[in-house]
Amino acid sequence: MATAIDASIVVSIASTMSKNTVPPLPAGATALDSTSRDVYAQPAVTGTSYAFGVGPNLAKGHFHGQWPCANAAQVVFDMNAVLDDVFGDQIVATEVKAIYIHNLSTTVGDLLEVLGDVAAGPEMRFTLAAADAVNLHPDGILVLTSPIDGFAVGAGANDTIEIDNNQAAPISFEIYVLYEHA
Amino acid sequence: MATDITTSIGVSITSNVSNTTVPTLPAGSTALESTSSDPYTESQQEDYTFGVGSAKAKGHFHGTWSCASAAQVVFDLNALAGTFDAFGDLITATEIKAIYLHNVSTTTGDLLEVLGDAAAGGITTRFTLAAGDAINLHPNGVLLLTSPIEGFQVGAAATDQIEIDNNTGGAIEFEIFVLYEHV
Repeated sequence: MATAIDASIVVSIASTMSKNTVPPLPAGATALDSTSRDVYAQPAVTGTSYAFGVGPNLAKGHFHGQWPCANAAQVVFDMNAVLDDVFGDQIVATEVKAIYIHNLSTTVGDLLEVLGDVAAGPEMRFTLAAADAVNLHPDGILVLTSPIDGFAVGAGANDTIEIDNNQAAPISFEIYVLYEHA
Repeated sequence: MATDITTSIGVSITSNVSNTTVPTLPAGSTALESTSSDPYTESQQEDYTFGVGSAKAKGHFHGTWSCASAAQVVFDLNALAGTFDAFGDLITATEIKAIYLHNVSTTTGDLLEVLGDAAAGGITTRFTLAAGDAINLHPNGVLLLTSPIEGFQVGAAATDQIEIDNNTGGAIEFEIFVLYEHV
């Protein structure tokens, strides 16, 4: 098992929308543009860093990698006593603190479906109900964090992150998961 | 309607786990630590300019809302419920390129549920798979979902909403930013 972790997950957005209007003027007048702007600078989010431990803004391990998902198939990441971490120790996560998934395809129609595993209770899993799914389009990104509560990981029926590909060709994706264990 | 837009959306992840072990040695030996590490770095940036198509958008809206207990906030992106942009023009979006939400609460248990509106149509067009599907957004949690190439299609009436539900005991604030296309 890992004995230390230092993680940071930051989303940044800057967007400027403008509207240029030319007011009606008498014939022969010099037209003057009037430009209005709406600038969005994403408010800073605190608590995006994680140290080693159990609790708010703490974590104890991560896993990551790139996988191909065959057509009409799925890749399932079982966070409770199935996968090994990079040190060869079995992952027995109790909470997931962050999930990042990037659909690496740039082909129109290459849709991946991201499913939580919610056998019981809406509070602690990343989707509300069993079989609820997020559509992840080509070159699309999903970031979902829970730095304080964490998405609780059970055993058996509520411990997986599932990526489904119901399209006609394989689709590759990148995944990173930050988690706690006991 | 807006006549220009420039948007940049970035994700930066740095994460390093390490495992320090002290091997068992004969008594009297000098202990030597052995540390293995697994660094992970990921940096993605999406840039959008004005227009329709891949890496294009025509408008954004944003703000901070309070969602009352046992209530919801609904953003209708297709004219009907009157969501206006910053210039006072009615939003009639055809595609959503990016959604960002931040649950501003830091109180344990303050859960927001984020629902797409996928009552009809194909699975490739909305940000959730089926009607009623929801993403749990925990306190101080962030959700970013982008579709720079295809966009999440916005229909009319039944397939044009982003809904934020609060089924907990107190009001919860959230920040939202949506990047969209229109005709």
